Amino acid sequence: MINTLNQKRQIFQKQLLHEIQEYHYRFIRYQIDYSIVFAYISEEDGDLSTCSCHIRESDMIIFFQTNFCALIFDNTNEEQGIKAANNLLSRIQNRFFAKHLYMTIINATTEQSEFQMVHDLFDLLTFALEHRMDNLVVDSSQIILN
Amino acid sequence: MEEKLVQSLKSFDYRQNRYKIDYSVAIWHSPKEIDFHILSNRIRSSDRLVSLDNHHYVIIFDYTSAESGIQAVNNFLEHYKSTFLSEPLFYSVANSSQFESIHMMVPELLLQLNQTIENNQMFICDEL
Repeated sequence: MINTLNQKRQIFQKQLLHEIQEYHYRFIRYQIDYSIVFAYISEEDGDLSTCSCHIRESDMIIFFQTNFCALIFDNTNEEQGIKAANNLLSRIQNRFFAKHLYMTIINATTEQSEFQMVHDLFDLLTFALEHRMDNLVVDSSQIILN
Repeated sequence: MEEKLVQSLKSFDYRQNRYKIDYSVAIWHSPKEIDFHILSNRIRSSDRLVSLDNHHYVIIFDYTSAESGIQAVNNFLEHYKSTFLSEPLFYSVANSSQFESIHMMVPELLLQLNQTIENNQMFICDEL
């Protein structure tokens, strides 16, 4: 996956940036927070379409591949975003019991542009894959920089 | 027309119920066929302009209180004035905080609009 991610990263980033426009506009203009979550199953036959049953109407799901998607949680701060991601993980975990499910999350902040935010989220997923941090929700606070 | 209006409000209504994000709705009636879409760049990205038919348009102003909704409508009327000059216009405005549901708001909005039409209370640009 790391290879695929590196090869297609620009395409995925472009697609994601396009989809978050509406949320980011609301964040900048009305300070309505949002979070972005990546969900990825390392097995190619993994199908994440079931995730769409567990999100709210104002959330969004973007599929890059059947086993790789981004979820946008509307109106969530950092804490609520992590809680929502963990709720989702607990709901879909059983289904992918024998598989490796990776989830990473980032929350919109005023210190970061949307470009930096998306860039960091991809880095976070790469980190989770490299360190085999599966079946948990990885956020930036779990990363120890040397 | 009522059903189309309700449908266009659905996503705003969801956010209002779930996150308490209020919005305002303005419905406009022009006796003459005019193209409101010319003014679509005069509203914010998160607002929505919906055409109900050739004479009725709706603008949903996202994230507005009753007060800021009126202000947004007034700002829009200024743009209308400079674009369509003296074309008469009837309108009514409502804010989501004033109603329990869209099923109460929409009939009231249409009733108010009909009353302004019956009473000939049009917005004439010269009067601004």
